[in-house]
Amino acid sequence: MTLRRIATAVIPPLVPLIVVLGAVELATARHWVPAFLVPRPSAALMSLANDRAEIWNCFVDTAEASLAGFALSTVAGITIAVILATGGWVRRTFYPYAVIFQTVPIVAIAPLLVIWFDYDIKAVIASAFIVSVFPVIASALNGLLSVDPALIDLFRLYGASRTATLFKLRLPYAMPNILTGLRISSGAAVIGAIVGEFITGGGLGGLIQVARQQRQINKVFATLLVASLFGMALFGLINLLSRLLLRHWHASEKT
Amino acid sequence: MAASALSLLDVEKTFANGVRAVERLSLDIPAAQFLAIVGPSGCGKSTLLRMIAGLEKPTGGSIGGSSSSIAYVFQDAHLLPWRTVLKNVCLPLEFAGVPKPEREKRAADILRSVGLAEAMQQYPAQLSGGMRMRVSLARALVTKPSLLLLDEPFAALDEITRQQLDDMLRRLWDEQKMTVIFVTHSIAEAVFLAERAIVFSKRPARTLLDHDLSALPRQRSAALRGEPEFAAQTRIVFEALNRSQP
Repeated sequence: MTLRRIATAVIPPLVPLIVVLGAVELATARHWVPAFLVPRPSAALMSLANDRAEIWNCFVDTAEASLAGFALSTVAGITIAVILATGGWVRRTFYPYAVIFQTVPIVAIAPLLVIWFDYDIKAVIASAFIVSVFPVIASALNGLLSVDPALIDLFRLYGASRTATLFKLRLPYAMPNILTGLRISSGAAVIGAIVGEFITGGGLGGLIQVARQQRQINKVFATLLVASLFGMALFGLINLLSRLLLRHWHASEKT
Repeated sequence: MAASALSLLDVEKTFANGVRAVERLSLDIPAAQFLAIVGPSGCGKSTLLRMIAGLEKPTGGSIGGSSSSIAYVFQDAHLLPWRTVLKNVCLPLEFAGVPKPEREKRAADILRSVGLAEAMQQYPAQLSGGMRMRVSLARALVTKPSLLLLDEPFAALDEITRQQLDDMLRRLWDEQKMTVIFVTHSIAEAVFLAERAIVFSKRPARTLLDHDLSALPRQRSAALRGEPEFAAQTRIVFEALNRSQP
Protein backbone atom coordinates (compact mmCIF):
# COMPACT_ATOMS: atom_id res chain seq x y z
CA MET A 1 0.00 0.00 0.00
CA THR A 2 2.66 2.51 1.03
CA LEU A 3 4.91 1.26 -1.75
CA ARG A 4 2.09 1.97 -4.15
CA ARG A 5 1.67 5.48 -2.71
CA ILE A 6 5.36 6.20 -3.10
CA ALA A 7 5.23 4.90 -6.66
CA THR A 8 2.27 7.11 -7.55
CA ALA A 9 4.12 10.10 -6.12
CA VAL A 10 7.51 9.42 -7.71
CA ILE A 11 6.82 7.92 -11.11
CA PRO A 12 4.73 10.70 -12.78
CA PRO A 13 7.35 13.48 -12.46
CA LEU A 14 10.08 11.06 -13.59
CA VAL A 15 8.38 10.38 -16.91
CA PRO A 16 8.93 13.82 -18.54
CA LEU A 17 12.48 13.88 -17.12
CA ILE A 18 13.38 10.57 -18.76
CA VAL A 19 11.70 11.52 -22.02
CA VAL A 20 13.45 14.91 -22.24
CA LEU A 21 16.85 13.57 -21.19
CA GLY A 22 16.51 10.72 -23.66
CA ALA A 23 15.67 13.14 -26.47
CA VAL A 24 18.60 15.42 -25.59
CA GLU A 25 20.92 12.41 -25.35
CA LEU A 26 19.79 11.24 -28.77
CA ALA A 27 20.09 14.72 -30.31
CA THR A 28 23.61 15.23 -28.98
CA ALA A 29 24.82 11.69 -29.75
CA ARG A 30 23.70 12.11 -33.37
CA HIS A 31 25.32 15.60 -33.46
CA TRP A 32 22.05 17.31 -34.31
CA VAL A 33 22.99 19.86 -31.66
CA PRO A 34 26.64 20.88 -31.23
CA ALA A 35 28.17 19.64 -27.98
CA PHE A 36 29.47 23.08 -26.91
CA LEU A 37 25.86 24.34 -26.71
CA VAL A 38 24.19 21.48 -24.93
CA PRO A 39 26.10 18.71 -23.20
CA ARG A 40 25.12 15.09 -23.47
CA PRO A 41 23.20 14.25 -20.29
CA SER A 42 25.36 11.18 -19.83
CA ALA A 43 28.51 13.33 -20.09
CA ALA A 44 27.15 15.81 -17.56
CA LEU A 45 26.43 12.94 -15.18
CA MET A 46 29.92 11.60 -15.77
CA SER A 47 31.30 15.01 -14.87
CA LEU A 48 29.19 14.95 -11.71
CA ALA A 49 30.83 11.65 -10.81
CA ASN A 50 34.38 12.63 -11.80
CA ASP A 51 34.36 16.07 -10.17
CA ARG A 52 32.31 15.01 -7.17
CA ALA A 53 34.92 16.05 -4.58
CA GLU A 54 35.25 19.56 -6.00
CA ILE A 55 31.50 19.95 -6.53
CA TRP A 56 30.76 18.66 -3.04
CA ASN A 57 33.15 21.16 -1.42
CA CYS A 58 31.60 24.01 -3.36
CA PHE A 59 28.12 22.73 -2.58
CA VAL A 60 28.83 22.84 1.16
CA ASP A 61 29.84 26.52 0.88
CA THR A 62 26.77 27.41 -1.16
CA ALA A 63 24.47 25.43 1.12
CA GLU A 64 25.86 27.18 4.18
CA ALA A 65 25.46 30.63 2.67
CA SER A 66 21.95 29.99 1.31
CA LEU A 67 20.73 28.47 4.55
CA ALA A 68 22.18 31.36 6.54
CA GLY A 69 20.59 33.87 4.16
CA PHE A 70 17.30 32.03 4.24
CA ALA A 71 17.31 31.83 8.04
CA LEU A 72 18.02 35.56 8.22
CA SER A 73 15.19 36.24 5.78
CA THR A 74 12.78 34.15 7.81
CA VAL A 75 13.55 35.89 11.10
CA ALA A 76 13.97 39.39 9.68
CA GLY A 77 11.05 39.04 7.26
CA ILE A 78 8.59 37.97 9.95
CA THR A 79 9.88 40.63 12.36
CA ILE A 80 9.58 43.36 9.76
CA ALA A 81 6.07 42.17 8.86
CA VAL A 82 5.04 42.24 12.53
CA ILE A 83 6.32 45.82 12.81
CA LEU A 84 4.61 46.88 9.59
CA ALA A 85 1.37 45.28 10.77
CA THR A 86 1.21 47.46 13.88
CA GLY A 87 -0.44 50.35 12.10
CA GLY A 88 -1.36 52.16 8.93
CA TRP A 89 1.13 54.95 9.47
CA VAL A 90 4.05 52.60 10.07
CA ARG A 91 3.09 50.73 6.94
CA ARG A 92 2.77 53.83 4.77
CA THR A 93 6.08 55.15 6.06
CA PHE A 94 8.24 52.03 5.76
CA TYR A 95 6.63 49.54 3.39
CA PRO A 96 7.90 51.29 0.25
CA TYR A 97 11.45 50.75 1.52
CA ALA A 98 10.80 47.06 2.10
CA VAL A 99 9.75 46.82 -1.55
CA ILE A 100 13.28 47.91 -2.49
CA PHE A 101 14.47 44.41 -1.55
CA GLN A 102 12.23 43.08 -4.27
CA THR A 103 13.09 45.61 -6.94
CA VAL A 104 16.84 46.05 -6.47
CA PRO A 105 18.77 44.37 -9.32
CA ILE A 106 20.86 41.95 -7.31
CA VAL A 107 23.29 41.39 -10.17
CA ALA A 108 24.10 45.10 -10.11
CA ILE A 109 24.63 45.44 -6.39
CA ALA A 110 26.43 42.14 -5.79
CA PRO A 111 29.78 43.83 -6.61
CA LEU A 112 28.99 46.44 -3.96
CA LEU A 113 28.36 43.71 -1.42
CA VAL A 114 31.91 42.53 -2.01
CA ILE A 115 33.16 46.03 -1.22
CA TRP A 116 31.12 46.14 1.98
CA PHE A 117 31.68 42.59 3.18
CA ASP A 118 34.91 41.65 1.41
CA TYR A 119 35.35 38.48 -0.67
CA ASP A 120 33.80 36.46 2.06
CA ILE A 121 30.83 34.21 2.79
CA LYS A 122 29.22 37.27 4.39
CA ALA A 123 28.81 38.89 0.98
CA VAL A 124 27.18 35.70 -0.30
CA ILE A 125 24.85 35.51 2.70
CA ALA A 126 23.91 39.17 2.17
CA SER A 127 23.09 38.45 -1.45
CA ALA A 128 20.96 35.43 -0.53
CA PHE A 129 19.20 37.50 2.13
CA ILE A 130 18.40 40.47 -0.12
CA VAL A 131 16.82 38.24 -2.74
CA SER A 132 14.82 36.11 -0.32
CA VAL A 133 13.54 38.49 2.35
CA PHE A 134 10.75 40.24 0.49
CA PRO A 135 8.52 37.22 -0.17
CA VAL A 136 8.53 36.57 3.58
CA ILE A 137 7.67 40.18 4.44
CA ALA A 138 4.90 40.45 1.87
CA SER A 139 3.22 37.15 2.65
CA ALA A 140 3.57 37.40 6.43
CA LEU A 141 2.17 40.95 6.35
CA ASN A 142 -0.76 39.80 4.27
CA GLY A 143 -1.51 37.06 6.80
CA LEU A 144 -1.11 39.33 9.82
CA LEU A 145 -3.48 41.90 8.34
CA SER A 146 -6.20 39.42 7.45
CA VAL A 147 -6.85 38.20 11.00
CA ASP A 148 -10.57 37.82 11.67
CA PRO A 149 -11.68 41.11 13.35
CA ALA A 150 -14.10 39.21 15.59
CA LEU A 151 -11.18 37.22 17.02
CA ILE A 152 -9.29 40.44 17.67
CA ASP A 153 -12.38 41.73 19.51
CA LEU A 154 -12.51 38.50 21.46
CA PHE A 155 -8.88 38.85 22.55
CA ARG A 156 -9.52 42.49 23.55
CA LEU A 157 -12.53 41.42 25.56
CA TYR A 158 -10.42 38.90 27.48
CA GLY A 159 -7.82 41.56 28.17
CA ALA A 160 -5.10 39.77 26.19
CA SER A 161 -1.81 41.67 26.01
CA ARG A 162 -0.32 42.68 22.66
CA THR A 163 2.31 39.99 23.01
CA ALA A 164 -0.28 37.32 23.78
CA THR A 165 -2.38 38.48 20.83
CA LEU A 166 0.68 38.28 18.59
CA PHE A 167 1.72 34.79 19.61
CA LYS A 168 -1.66 33.21 20.22
CA LEU A 169 -3.61 34.83 17.43
CA ARG A 170 -1.79 36.85 14.80
CA LEU A 171 1.20 34.65 14.07
CA PRO A 172 -0.69 31.34 14.02
CA TYR A 173 -3.32 32.97 11.82
CA ALA A 174 -0.63 34.17 9.42
CA MET A 175 1.18 30.82 9.38
CA PRO A 176 -0.24 29.53 6.07
CA ASN A 177 0.79 32.79 4.40
CA ILE A 178 4.21 32.75 6.05
CA LEU A 179 4.80 29.22 4.77
CA THR A 180 3.88 30.29 1.25
CA GLY A 181 6.42 33.09 1.55
CA LEU A 182 9.05 30.65 2.79
CA ARG A 183 8.46 28.35 -0.19
CA ILE A 184 9.22 31.19 -2.60
CA SER A 185 11.99 32.52 -0.42
CA SER A 186 13.85 29.19 -0.10
CA GLY A 187 14.47 28.91 -3.83
CA ALA A 188 15.30 32.60 -4.08
CA ALA A 189 17.94 32.25 -1.34
CA VAL A 190 19.82 29.61 -3.35
CA ILE A 191 19.72 31.80 -6.46
CA GLY A 192 20.87 34.82 -4.43
CA ALA A 193 23.78 32.86 -3.00
CA ILE A 194 24.91 31.70 -6.44
CA VAL A 195 24.71 35.24 -7.83
CA GLY A 196 26.81 36.40 -4.88
CA GLU A 197 29.32 33.67 -5.60
CA PHE A 198 29.67 34.79 -9.20
CA ILE A 199 31.38 37.84 -7.71
CA THR A 200 33.21 36.34 -4.74
CA GLY A 201 34.31 33.30 -6.73
CA GLY A 202 33.49 30.66 -4.12
CA GLY A 203 30.90 27.90 -3.95
CA LEU A 204 28.81 26.49 -6.79
CA GLY A 205 28.49 29.97 -8.32
CA GLY A 206 32.26 30.35 -8.54
CA LEU A 207 32.57 26.84 -9.92
CA ILE A 208 30.00 27.53 -12.66
CA GLN A 209 31.84 30.72 -13.54
CA VAL A 210 35.21 29.00 -13.88
CA ALA A 211 33.84 25.97 -15.74
CA ARG A 212 32.04 28.25 -18.15
CA GLN A 213 35.20 30.25 -18.86
CA GLN A 214 37.05 26.99 -19.48
CA ARG A 215 34.24 25.83 -21.76
CA GLN A 216 33.62 22.78 -19.56
CA ILE A 217 29.93 22.77 -20.30
CA ASN A 218 29.46 19.30 -18.81
CA LYS A 219 30.69 20.59 -15.49
CA VAL A 220 28.47 23.69 -15.73
CA PHE A 221 25.44 21.46 -16.14
CA ALA A 222 26.55 19.04 -13.43
CA THR A 223 26.87 21.99 -11.03
CA LEU A 224 23.55 23.47 -12.11
CA LEU A 225 21.92 20.13 -11.41
CA VAL A 226 23.31 20.10 -7.87
CA ALA A 227 22.18 23.69 -7.27
CA SER A 228 18.65 22.93 -8.53
CA LEU A 229 18.38 19.74 -6.50
CA PHE A 230 19.41 21.68 -3.42
CA GLY A 231 16.70 24.29 -4.07
CA MET A 232 14.16 21.51 -4.51
CA ALA A 233 15.27 19.81 -1.30
CA LEU A 234 14.76 23.06 0.60
CA PHE A 235 11.33 23.45 -0.98
CA GLY A 236 10.47 19.90 0.06
CA LEU A 237 11.57 20.65 3.60
CA ILE A 238 9.23 23.65 3.78
CA ASN A 239 6.40 21.49 2.45
CA LEU A 240 7.07 18.97 5.19
CA LEU A 241 7.07 21.73 7.80
CA SER A 242 3.83 23.09 6.39
CA ARG A 243 2.25 19.66 6.58
CA LEU A 244 3.30 19.27 10.21
CA LEU A 245 2.08 22.71 11.23
CA LEU A 246 -1.16 22.99 9.30
CA ARG A 247 -2.49 19.46 8.83
CA HIS A 248 -5.14 19.72 11.53
CA TRP A 249 -6.70 22.94 10.48
CA HIS A 250 -5.82 24.45 7.16
CA ALA A 251 -7.60 23.45 3.97
CA SER A 252 -4.34 23.51 2.01
CA GLU A 253 -2.95 20.57 3.99
CA LYS A 254 -6.01 18.39 4.19
CA THR A 255 -6.10 15.21 2.22
CA MET B 1 -36.79 43.71 42.14
CA ALA B 2 -33.23 42.49 42.17
CA ALA B 3 -30.28 44.85 41.94
CA SER B 4 -29.65 45.92 38.38
CA ALA B 5 -26.74 44.37 36.58
CA LEU B 6 -26.63 46.98 33.92
CA SER B 7 -28.18 50.35 33.37
CA LEU B 8 -28.10 52.35 30.20
CA LEU B 9 -28.96 56.03 30.31
CA ASP B 10 -29.64 57.99 27.13
CA VAL B 11 -27.06 55.96 25.24
CA GLU B 12 -26.34 57.21 21.75
CA LYS B 13 -24.04 56.06 19.03
CA THR B 14 -23.29 57.98 15.88
CA PHE B 15 -20.54 56.58 13.68
CA ALA B 16 -17.85 58.72 12.08
CA ASN B 17 -19.63 58.41 8.74
CA GLY B 18 -22.73 60.07 10.21
CA VAL B 19 -24.80 56.91 10.56
CA ARG B 20 -26.80 57.03 13.75
CA ALA B 21 -27.09 53.52 15.11
CA VAL B 22 -28.61 54.09 18.54
CA GLU B 23 -30.63 57.10 19.76
CA ARG B 24 -31.25 58.06 23.40
CA LEU B 25 -31.70 54.54 24.65
CA SER B 26 -32.34 53.91 28.32
CA LEU B 27 -32.61 50.44 29.75
CA ASP B 28 -32.36 48.85 33.14
CA ILE B 29 -31.47 45.19 33.31
CA PRO B 30 -31.79 43.41 36.67
CA ALA B 31 -29.17 40.88 37.67
CA ALA B 32 -29.74 37.32 36.45
CA GLN B 33 -32.36 38.37 33.93
CA PHE B 34 -32.60 36.74 30.53
CA LEU B 35 -33.28 39.57 28.10
CA ALA B 36 -33.91 39.14 24.41
CA ILE B 37 -33.58 42.03 22.00
CA VAL B 38 -35.49 41.66 18.75
CA GLY B 39 -35.32 44.05 15.87
CA PRO B 40 -35.03 44.37 12.12
CA SER B 41 -31.66 43.70 10.49
CA GLY B 42 -29.19 46.51 10.80
CA CYS B 43 -31.19 48.31 13.49
CA GLY B 44 -28.25 48.84 15.82
CA LYS B 45 -28.71 45.79 18.06
CA SER B 46 -25.18 44.60 17.51
CA THR B 47 -23.78 48.08 18.07
CA LEU B 48 -25.59 48.22 21.40
CA LEU B 49 -24.13 44.87 22.39
CA ARG B 50 -20.65 45.99 21.40
CA MET B 51 -21.02 49.13 23.51
CA ILE B 52 -22.11 47.09 26.51
CA ALA B 53 -19.09 44.85 26.00
CA GLY B 54 -16.81 47.89 25.82
CA LEU B 55 -15.72 47.14 22.27
CA GLU B 56 -17.27 50.38 21.12
CA LYS B 57 -17.64 53.69 22.95
CA PRO B 58 -21.04 55.41 23.05
CA THR B 59 -21.03 58.93 21.63
CA GLY B 60 -23.55 60.03 24.25
CA GLY B 61 -25.11 58.90 27.51
CA SER B 62 -23.68 56.39 29.90
CA ILE B 63 -23.53 52.68 30.49
CA GLY B 64 -23.25 51.74 34.13
CA GLY B 65 -23.06 48.33 35.65
CA SER B 66 -21.41 46.17 38.21
CA SER B 67 -20.61 43.43 35.72
CA SER B 68 -16.99 42.64 36.18
CA SER B 69 -16.85 39.66 33.87
CA ILE B 70 -18.41 39.80 30.44
CA ALA B 71 -18.46 37.08 27.82
CA TYR B 72 -19.46 37.54 24.21
CA VAL B 73 -20.72 35.05 21.66
CA PHE B 74 -20.63 36.09 18.02
CA GLN B 75 -22.86 35.12 15.15
CA ASP B 76 -20.29 32.58 13.99
CA ALA B 77 -18.33 30.37 16.31
CA HIS B 78 -14.98 32.13 15.68
CA LEU B 79 -12.79 29.42 17.12
CA LEU B 80 -9.03 29.19 16.72
CA PRO B 81 -8.78 26.49 14.04
CA TRP B 82 -5.27 25.41 15.08
CA ARG B 83 -6.39 24.53 18.59
CA THR B 84 -8.33 21.51 19.72
CA VAL B 85 -11.80 22.00 21.16
CA LEU B 86 -10.42 21.69 24.69
CA LYS B 87 -7.63 24.22 24.06
CA ASN B 88 -10.11 26.64 22.50
CA VAL B 89 -12.20 26.59 25.63
CA CYS B 90 -9.07 27.01 27.77
CA LEU B 91 -8.17 30.25 25.97
CA PRO B 92 -9.99 32.81 28.16
CA LEU B 93 -8.59 31.13 31.26
CA GLU B 94 -5.06 31.52 29.93
CA PHE B 95 -5.50 35.29 29.90
CA ALA B 96 -6.98 35.13 33.38
CA GLY B 97 -3.81 33.40 34.58
CA VAL B 98 -5.47 30.18 35.66
CA PRO B 99 -2.88 27.37 36.01
CA LYS B 100 -2.95 24.71 33.30
CA PRO B 101 -4.35 21.69 35.19
CA GLU B 102 -7.25 23.78 36.52
CA ARG B 103 -7.83 25.34 33.10
CA GLU B 104 -8.21 21.98 31.49
CA LYS B 105 -10.40 20.65 34.24
CA ARG B 106 -12.78 23.60 34.04
CA ALA B 107 -12.84 23.49 30.25
CA ALA B 108 -13.59 19.76 30.29
CA ASP B 109 -16.41 20.28 32.81
CA ILE B 110 -18.13 22.94 30.74
CA LEU B 111 -17.65 20.93 27.54
CA ARG B 112 -19.40 18.00 29.18
CA SER B 113 -22.32 20.23 30.13
CA VAL B 114 -22.76 21.35 26.51
CA GLY B 115 -22.65 17.72 25.36
CA LEU B 116 -19.20 17.72 23.82
CA ALA B 117 -17.40 15.27 26.09
CA GLU B 118 -16.46 13.11 23.11
CA ALA B 119 -15.11 15.93 20.94
CA MET B 120 -12.53 17.55 23.23
CA GLN B 121 -9.48 16.43 21.30
CA GLN B 122 -10.94 17.23 17.89
CA TYR B 123 -10.17 20.27 15.80
CA PRO B 124 -12.88 22.77 14.79
CA ALA B 125 -12.63 21.73 11.15
CA GLN B 126 -13.84 18.25 12.14
CA LEU B 127 -17.02 19.55 13.77
CA SER B 128 -20.47 20.43 12.46
CA GLY B 129 -21.74 24.02 12.63
CA GLY B 130 -23.88 23.25 15.66
CA MET B 131 -20.98 21.62 17.50
CA ARG B 132 -18.72 24.57 16.74
CA MET B 133 -21.35 26.90 18.21
CA ARG B 134 -21.46 24.76 21.35
CA VAL B 135 -17.70 25.13 21.67
CA SER B 136 -18.08 28.88 21.27
CA LEU B 137 -20.71 28.89 23.99
CA ALA B 138 -18.51 26.76 26.25
CA ARG B 139 -15.63 29.16 25.70
CA ALA B 140 -17.86 32.04 26.79
CA LEU B 141 -19.16 30.23 29.85
CA VAL B 142 -15.87 28.81 31.11
CA THR B 143 -14.97 32.10 32.82
CA LYS B 144 -18.29 31.97 34.71
CA PRO B 145 -19.29 35.40 33.43
CA SER B 146 -21.82 37.50 35.30
CA LEU B 147 -23.00 38.96 31.99
CA LEU B 148 -23.31 36.92 28.80
CA LEU B 149 -23.87 38.76 25.53
CA LEU B 150 -25.00 36.81 22.49
CA ASP B 151 -25.23 38.41 19.06
CA GLU B 152 -27.54 36.27 16.89
CA PRO B 153 -25.49 33.25 17.87
CA PHE B 154 -27.58 30.54 16.24
CA ALA B 155 -28.75 32.44 13.17
CA ALA B 156 -26.61 30.42 10.78
CA LEU B 157 -27.81 27.03 12.04
CA ASP B 158 -30.63 24.82 10.85
CA GLU B 159 -33.91 24.95 12.77
CA ILE B 160 -33.51 21.65 14.64
CA THR B 161 -29.97 22.38 15.80
CA ARG B 162 -31.07 25.85 16.73
CA GLN B 163 -33.86 24.59 18.97
CA GLN B 164 -31.48 22.15 20.65
CA LEU B 165 -29.07 24.95 21.39
CA ASP B 166 -31.89 27.18 22.65
CA ASP B 167 -32.93 24.46 25.11
CA MET B 168 -29.35 24.11 26.21
CA LEU B 169 -28.81 27.83 26.65
CA ARG B 170 -31.95 28.18 28.73
CA ARG B 171 -30.77 25.32 30.97
CA LEU B 172 -27.29 26.81 31.36
CA TRP B 173 -28.75 30.19 32.27
CA ASP B 174 -30.86 28.50 34.93
CA GLU B 175 -27.79 26.77 36.36
CA GLN B 176 -25.31 29.62 36.22
CA LYS B 177 -27.48 32.52 37.44
CA MET B 178 -26.00 35.05 35.07
CA THR B 179 -27.47 38.01 33.24
CA VAL B 180 -28.01 37.22 29.58
CA ILE B 181 -28.62 39.63 26.72
CA PHE B 182 -29.59 37.74 23.60
CA VAL B 183 -29.89 39.56 20.31
CA THR B 184 -31.92 37.81 17.65
CA HIS B 185 -34.22 38.44 14.76
CA SER B 186 -36.26 35.35 15.52
CA ILE B 187 -39.38 36.15 17.55
CA ALA B 188 -40.02 32.53 18.50
CA GLU B 189 -36.49 32.17 19.77
CA ALA B 190 -36.76 35.36 21.83
CA VAL B 191 -40.06 34.31 23.41
CA PHE B 192 -38.89 30.79 24.14
CA LEU B 193 -35.63 31.86 25.75
CA ALA B 194 -36.18 35.09 27.56
CA GLU B 195 -37.89 36.44 30.65
CA ARG B 196 -38.21 39.78 28.94
CA ALA B 197 -38.25 40.80 25.30
CA ILE B 198 -37.44 44.22 23.93
CA VAL B 199 -38.36 45.18 20.39
CA PHE B 200 -36.23 47.74 18.64
CA SER B 201 -37.27 50.04 15.84
CA LYS B 202 -35.37 50.44 12.61
CA ARG B 203 -32.18 52.44 12.83
CA PRO B 204 -31.59 54.46 14.92
CA ALA B 205 -32.66 51.93 17.52
CA ARG B 206 -35.38 52.96 19.94
CA THR B 207 -37.47 50.75 22.21
CA LEU B 208 -40.89 49.94 20.72
CA LEU B 209 -41.89 47.28 23.20
CA ASP B 210 -40.60 46.16 26.55
CA HIS B 211 -42.47 42.99 27.30
CA ASP B 212 -42.41 40.75 30.35
CA LEU B 213 -42.39 37.04 29.49
CA SER B 214 -42.33 35.61 32.99
CA ALA B 215 -45.95 34.54 32.48
CA LEU B 216 -44.48 31.57 30.64
CA PRO B 217 -43.29 28.72 32.86
CA ARG B 218 -39.79 28.97 34.27
CA GLN B 219 -38.99 25.43 33.18
CA ARG B 220 -39.34 25.59 29.43
CA SER B 221 -39.38 22.37 27.52
CA ALA B 222 -39.37 21.99 23.78
CA ALA B 223 -43.12 21.22 23.95
CA LEU B 224 -43.80 24.81 25.03
CA ARG B 225 -43.37 25.89 21.44
CA GLY B 226 -46.70 24.22 20.64
CA GLU B 227 -48.70 25.75 23.53
CA PRO B 228 -51.34 28.47 22.94
CA GLU B 229 -49.72 30.53 25.69
CA PHE B 230 -46.50 30.60 23.68
CA ALA B 231 -48.40 31.59 20.53
CA ALA B 232 -50.09 34.45 22.38
CA GLN B 233 -46.80 35.86 23.63
CA THR B 234 -45.22 35.46 20.21
CA ARG B 235 -48.10 37.41 18.71
CA ILE B 236 -47.54 40.39 21.02
CA VAL B 237 -43.90 40.62 20.04
CA PHE B 238 -44.70 40.03 16.39
CA GLU B 239 -47.18 42.91 16.29
CA ALA B 240 -44.71 45.30 17.88
CA LEU B 241 -42.05 44.28 15.39
CA ASN B 242 -44.50 44.76 12.53
CA ARG B 243 -45.16 48.30 13.67
CA SER B 244 -41.43 48.95 13.34
CA GLN B 245 -41.54 48.46 9.58
CA PRO B 246 -44.66 50.02 8.11
